[in-house]
Amino acid sequence: MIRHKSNLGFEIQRQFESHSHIDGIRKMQINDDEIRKTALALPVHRRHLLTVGFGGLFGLNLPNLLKADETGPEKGPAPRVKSVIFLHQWGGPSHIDTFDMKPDAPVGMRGDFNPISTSLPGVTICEHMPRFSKVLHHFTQIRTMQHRIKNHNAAGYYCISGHAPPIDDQRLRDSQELYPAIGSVVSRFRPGSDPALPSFVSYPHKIADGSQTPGQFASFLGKAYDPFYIGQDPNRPDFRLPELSLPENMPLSRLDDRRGLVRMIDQQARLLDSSAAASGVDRFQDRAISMLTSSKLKNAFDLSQEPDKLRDAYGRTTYGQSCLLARRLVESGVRFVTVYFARSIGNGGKGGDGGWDTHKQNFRDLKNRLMPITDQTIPTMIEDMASRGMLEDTLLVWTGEMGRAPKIGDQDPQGRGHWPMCYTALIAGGGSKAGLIYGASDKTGAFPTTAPVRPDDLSATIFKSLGIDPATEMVDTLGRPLPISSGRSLEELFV
Amino acid sequence: MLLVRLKQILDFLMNGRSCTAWLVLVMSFFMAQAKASDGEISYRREVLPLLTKLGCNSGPCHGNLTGKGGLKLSLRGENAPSDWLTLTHDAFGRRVSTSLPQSSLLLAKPMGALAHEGGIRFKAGDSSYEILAGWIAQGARDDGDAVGSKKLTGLKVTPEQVWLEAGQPRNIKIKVLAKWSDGSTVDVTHLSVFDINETSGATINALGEFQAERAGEWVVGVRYLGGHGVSRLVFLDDHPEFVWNHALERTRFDTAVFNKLKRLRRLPSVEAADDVLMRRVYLDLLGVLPTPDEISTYESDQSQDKYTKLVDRLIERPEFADFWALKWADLLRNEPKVMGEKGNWQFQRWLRDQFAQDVSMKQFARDLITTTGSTWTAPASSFHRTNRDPATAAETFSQVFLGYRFQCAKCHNHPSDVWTQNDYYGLAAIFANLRRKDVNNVRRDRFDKHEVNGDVVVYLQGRAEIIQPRTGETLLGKPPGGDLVPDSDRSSNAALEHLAEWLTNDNRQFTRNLANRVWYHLVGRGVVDPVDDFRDSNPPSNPELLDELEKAFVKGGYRLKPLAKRIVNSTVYRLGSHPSEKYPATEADFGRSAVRLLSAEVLRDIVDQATGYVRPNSQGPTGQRAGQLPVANTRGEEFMKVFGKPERLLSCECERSEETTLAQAFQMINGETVREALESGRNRISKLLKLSETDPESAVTELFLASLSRRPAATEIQNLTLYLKSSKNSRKAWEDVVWATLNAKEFLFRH
Repeated sequence: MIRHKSNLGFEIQRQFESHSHIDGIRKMQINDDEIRKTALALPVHRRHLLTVGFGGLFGLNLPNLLKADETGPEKGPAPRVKSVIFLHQWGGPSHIDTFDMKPDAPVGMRGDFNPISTSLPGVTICEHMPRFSKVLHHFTQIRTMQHRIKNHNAAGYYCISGHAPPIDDQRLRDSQELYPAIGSVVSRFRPGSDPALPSFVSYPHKIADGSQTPGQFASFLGKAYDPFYIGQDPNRPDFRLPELSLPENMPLSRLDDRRGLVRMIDQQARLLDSSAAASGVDRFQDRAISMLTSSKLKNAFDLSQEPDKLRDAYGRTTYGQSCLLARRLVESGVRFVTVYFARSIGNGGKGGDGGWDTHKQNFRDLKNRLMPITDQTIPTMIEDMASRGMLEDTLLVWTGEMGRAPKIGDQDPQGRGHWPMCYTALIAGGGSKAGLIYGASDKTGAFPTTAPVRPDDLSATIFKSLGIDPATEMVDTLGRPLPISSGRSLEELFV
Repeated sequence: MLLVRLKQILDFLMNGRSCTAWLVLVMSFFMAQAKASDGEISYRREVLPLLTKLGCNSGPCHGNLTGKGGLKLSLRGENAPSDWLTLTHDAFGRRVSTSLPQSSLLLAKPMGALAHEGGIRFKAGDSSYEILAGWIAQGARDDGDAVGSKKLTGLKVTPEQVWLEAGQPRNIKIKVLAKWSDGSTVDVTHLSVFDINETSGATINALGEFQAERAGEWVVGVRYLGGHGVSRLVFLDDHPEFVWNHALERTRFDTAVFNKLKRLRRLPSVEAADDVLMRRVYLDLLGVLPTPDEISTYESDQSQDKYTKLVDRLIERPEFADFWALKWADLLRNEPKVMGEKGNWQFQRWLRDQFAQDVSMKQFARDLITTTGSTWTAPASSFHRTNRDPATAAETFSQVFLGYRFQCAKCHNHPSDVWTQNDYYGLAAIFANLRRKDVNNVRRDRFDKHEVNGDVVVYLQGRAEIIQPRTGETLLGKPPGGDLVPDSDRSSNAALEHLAEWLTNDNRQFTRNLANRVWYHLVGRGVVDPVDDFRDSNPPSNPELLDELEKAFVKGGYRLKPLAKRIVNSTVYRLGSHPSEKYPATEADFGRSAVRLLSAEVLRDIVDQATGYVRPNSQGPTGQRAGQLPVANTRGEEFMKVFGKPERLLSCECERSEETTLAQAFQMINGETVREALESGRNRISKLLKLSETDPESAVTELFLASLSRRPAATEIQNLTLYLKSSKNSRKAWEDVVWATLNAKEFLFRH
């Protein structure tokens, strides 16, 4: 077999910590009045974040609804982006066979695929992602993602909540003792500005490994901050929103009649005069009915408004149309969109529609199923977003909950096992340094050789990008203050 | 000395860094030094509490796990020696410079002379500045050895309680005295942290000066080192023409509530109408609606005591046991994954039987704590099946039976309560010799350690002791605030027996907690609220009322039914939900009835009841109500989830969500659960259709009695009959009318 070798033994690796040091010293030398001014302008009360805020659509609960009219936007670090699209590749994509290839590793580790050159000089990518090779310059790669959680549900929870799970167990379950989804925290502290839209949308299914993966919902933040979850496949011709679709025997006029009858009955008990809770429900009823009759959200979800050509380019797959929908939602003003690549895992080697959990037939599945879908959708998406100028104010995150083991051979000789010790995540847009390869793994892709990045750091980076201080505290059901992230925002990834 | 100092400053100035900020800093430093010379400033007693007070070592700032801006302190100063090292030695000693104190980052950053993300925390001349600057000037020593033997015995907060008449300025200075083990007292007001329970309408500054913008009631919690205290402040409204309305005092609860209202000069609402009260007491005691027949019979009863007699009948109905078993099944986490299907049913039945027989809650608690053996044959042992490790058992025990939230003390001493880590692990030790044997456990997934679907046999082995993870010390079992499990009794069940005895033998906290919970379930709000958060800084809103509840509970033999009866017979319970026109009392004063969204199970059941729909049931016999289901909401209907049925993974009432959300509106308007009940061919509507052909008015009345438990008003009859007559499709028109009653607020809310 002819192996295409990378020109450079090591991938490009840049460290920016020295830069920040220089910055620090320069700051010391600016005249002191300036410093005082800067200091005065800095936010003083960060705890006020706890007391204000309102959710979007389904995220709107009563106290916040009442407050919504009174509070202005929240203070925090200056936001870099308006929205985040979080693409989660459920199962754990093999970093070694995709973005962080190791052609010089021994046989039995390096795998079947060859690296090809890309739009970034000296950076390679797997040969089965030829389209991706042309758009790689849009992305920042973090090659040193690392944690120690080996089970999907626990690792998945870590990745989508940004908090280490209390136990590394396959059946870690959602409870109010676990942390909320990153998107839920975002809708708590930086909800979308249009109250007619949800702040946080997730689809096309919940992820699960046997039982449902925790961390996909709002946990102790309360149902008001749950994602607007759509368990529907956007690639189906009959894709629609169940809540926003009235049955055929319910014309709008009938709904109006009904609402009129309720109004009349409500006058009798006069609960609306004396109870804030009751009048809140009344406002929700009004709102629900106006949403059933209005078109804004329905339009955002209406993929048929996209040209067929573009829909084809994204790929007529669940993932392709989900990513297109993500772009539409963000365009219409949704703050945080999560797309899960797969519903369930464990289809390894059977060629089904499972996730990236390639214990068996790693190479066949990657080549025939996983990489073609990815290579169709993501390059289309990034160019579409770039041409619309959306990368200016949107952060795109592509990650999985772990990588795959360097040593080939797991449940069958062609499989790769779980490997959280080193994997790759991509980000793009939002002022990130396009083309930067951050950190490096060792010669087999087993461990980082530079400072590891934890899912906590990735979540902190997302929060900071949206203008939320990662040290902001939220309060759990027992009144305990808990930080939204214990990680460090990776500022060196941004211009 | 002074000369040296001056020279240093001059050198410093020559360095080209002169500016006003530095000059101020330097000058104020000398002033501070002069003041500090009165005595040595203590690191342990003054500097650390001050850093806590300023918030420097809090979670979002330098107390964060990763620190902030390179400085990491221990959370709320728990690790004094390490913080001292961090402050004085790390960062090349730049944080504290005893030779050039004014250049210390510890001063320059929080004063804004250098960029500080946390902003400006104090300025020159503040007492905070003086303490920090003085401490640095004196050499920044850790006085841990010198003060170690003297312990804080308590705080004296003055005033403890104040009722201020209108017309006076609404401000009060709170003073905090620390009492030390050597008998001395020191004013620590300037070092104490103040928290107001309700931050709207009132402020307090660092010196303890409290200011209210309006009349109202506030509780200020005070913390200094490990000590806690509170100050209750009431500012009265100016109601010169206030006249008490002489609401009937049927019980001592009424006396307690009305005494407070009189002092606050607020008037309770008038008593609710018969039909409203009847609906309310059905929903609160049984979780179901009265039937149209029951309403008619009640209406025609002319006797004076018909309500009391109704209560006597209701409390003996089987739905009462179902409903209260449901509440306790939530708390005791009767969920199918850990309990298994059969275990789930067995425990539910056991709970139900306890409430049906109205066993004493002492016996109930004792059974749960001390029962071991098979959870299928002795279901009370399920307590030890669901709480699968000593720590969880300790947390559940304290939260459910004592109303204490112990969880904080697992990792560090409780920040706003007296509980220490030793209290936590002492309690956990009692459960440390419990063992569980899984019998016939056939897991669907062999890796799933949480699934236990066979029987579990709980047994005891070895001694009840545990290792405190922070100190490494072996702790023997000890109830919080109680005595150690006696060393003489080495039998393995000694610890559980000891705990049950301590809990149920004249333990006021147990009594008060349970009485408060019963009040909460019936009245809608605890006297201590949230009900599982008893602590000094969250005192009862009406102490006299809590005392009366406690007495009534004891008098009723610690049984649920006598106390529940007494509460629902009180005037306070019977009050209307509309505020009094003049000087209205609030729900928090118990001066009017609480308006609360009904719980998920109750709502689903009364949707079925109102529509006369018999819902198919895959989990049990047909006609079984949602309130009777033993399972938690793991795979349940969307309706139940949206309305907040808990999954029973926490032993906290708070897991049952009471939020109102938009999703609920969608469920009621367009959801499957409601649509199914409305559109079924086998519901009340067929009957109403037939009746309305001849007598539309009676048909509307029948519907109103069934869904809203009242007769329709004249305008309602008029409008609805008109609507029904003018529609082309009368079946659909009836569906619309029924739908409208289900979406009316008086249907959705307990009021």
